[in-house]
Amino acid sequence: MIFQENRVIKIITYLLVCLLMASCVGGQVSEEELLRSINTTPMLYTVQCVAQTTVIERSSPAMSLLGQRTAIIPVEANIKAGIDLSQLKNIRISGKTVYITLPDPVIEIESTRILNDQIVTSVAPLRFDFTNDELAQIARKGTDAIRNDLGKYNLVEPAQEQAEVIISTIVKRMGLEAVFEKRQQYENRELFNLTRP
Amino acid sequence: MVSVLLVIALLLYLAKDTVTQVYHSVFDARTEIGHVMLSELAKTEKLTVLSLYKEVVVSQYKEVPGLFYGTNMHQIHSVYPGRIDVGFDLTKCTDDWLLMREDTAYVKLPAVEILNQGGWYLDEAAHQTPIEEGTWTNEDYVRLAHRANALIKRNSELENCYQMAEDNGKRVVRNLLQAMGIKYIKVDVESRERYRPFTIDFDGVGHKGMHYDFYVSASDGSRYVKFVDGSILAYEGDIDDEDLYSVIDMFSYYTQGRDSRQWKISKQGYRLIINMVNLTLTKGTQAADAFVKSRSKADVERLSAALRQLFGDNLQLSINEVDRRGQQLYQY
Repeated sequence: MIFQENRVIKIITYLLVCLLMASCVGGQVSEEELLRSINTTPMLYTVQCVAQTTVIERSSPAMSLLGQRTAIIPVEANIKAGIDLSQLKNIRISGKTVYITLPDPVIEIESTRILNDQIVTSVAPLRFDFTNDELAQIARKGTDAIRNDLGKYNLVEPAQEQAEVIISTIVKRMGLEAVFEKRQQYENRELFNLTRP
Repeated sequence: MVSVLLVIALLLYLAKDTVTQVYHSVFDARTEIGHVMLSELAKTEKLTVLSLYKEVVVSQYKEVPGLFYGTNMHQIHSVYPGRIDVGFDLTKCTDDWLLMREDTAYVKLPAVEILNQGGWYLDEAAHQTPIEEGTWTNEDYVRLAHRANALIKRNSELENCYQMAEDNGKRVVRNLLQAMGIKYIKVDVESRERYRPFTIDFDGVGHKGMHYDFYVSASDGSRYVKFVDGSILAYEGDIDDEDLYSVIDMFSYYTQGRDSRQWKISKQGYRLIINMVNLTLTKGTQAADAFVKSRSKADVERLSAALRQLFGDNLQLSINEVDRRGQQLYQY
């Protein structure tokens, strides 16, 4: 008899837990913020451009027995380059001339965008459709390719020239003259280290 | 029976350690990445003094008819990372922004603003969708991304990012000029009064099919948005894309909290909303210019019909199609 009572209590508890969980599922949390970090490094961005590429994903040969599954996804990345003003430390002043050594330029991807309205997918009837997560994973390959090639886009020299123009106009306004000392040549390998995520 | 055994044997063969390479090459999808096209380099003078890295979760629920009876709730939850850069656009400086009087420098900087290109803050390719139930279209994904974009901006504004950037910017300029040998520096930043984020007042959330009126008030004048069953029919004052997303955002947030089942933004309404770039109308308007993003002709006709219904048949309306960067493509 005691055993049976225990069982009844167990069943009631189980039902209560189920009800409680059901009431939790109904909660309409629509938006929330997860993570937040702040960067206060002063950056002088001097050039910007937009890089665009297309990623084509084809289904694996083994699974294509069930039918093909193909997606064409255009992605876009906003790129900008500039100099980190907190690294601008080597400044010498002699008389009316200011000698400035510019820090190495930094190239960054500011934001990326999946051109959702231009995505083309073709899915065989037996296969599952592409999910949002999958599309993003494919698009990430495109932005990774852009990120790896950042050093090849010839952004370093224009960025540095424009930074010189801006800083020399500031110095001229103060009644002085600016002379820049910089590294002339950048190897491709070094450029890769200049990029920030 | 034989075929089942064959399949099991094949799977076991593929799972063997010695053929890991085959397993990978056979089951991996093939990805081709096209040429990277680069737009023309644009010269800018953007002094960024504050970068906020954020990650937001946006969700959407959808009610669909069940297979046999009742309704099912479909849901999607996406996590979007993003970044907001706040600082000064130095091209907006006045001619006398840096003046030297004896040994003191007087610096007058323009108002701080968000400097991201094209008002886009998300790293959309890095987003994740851990939960996706039911079928969702590309338009739904676009909408989620735009909501996340608006949310990141709104949260940053609520966190007083402009004030933080202003304080940091003053410090940066002072340090820079001090390094160049100037003793006394006075930095002044233009006030952001007129850019203050607006608040939305609304009263009485009705049921489906009822009219919703919004008064979007900002310190530079109040704006008015009229919703009818999930579609924006008209608005007064200068309201841009992001304002609209904030309105939609606030609206769906509040209505979801109160009565989520009643609120749905219709597909037609949403398309009308996201594609309107700029439209200025006042109550006595006789002529108006609307700027829309690339549209089909049917959409344009629907838009003009909706506007004529509100402002009378005498309204002289010209609708201009613009691309994402705001350049005119076509005039209807």
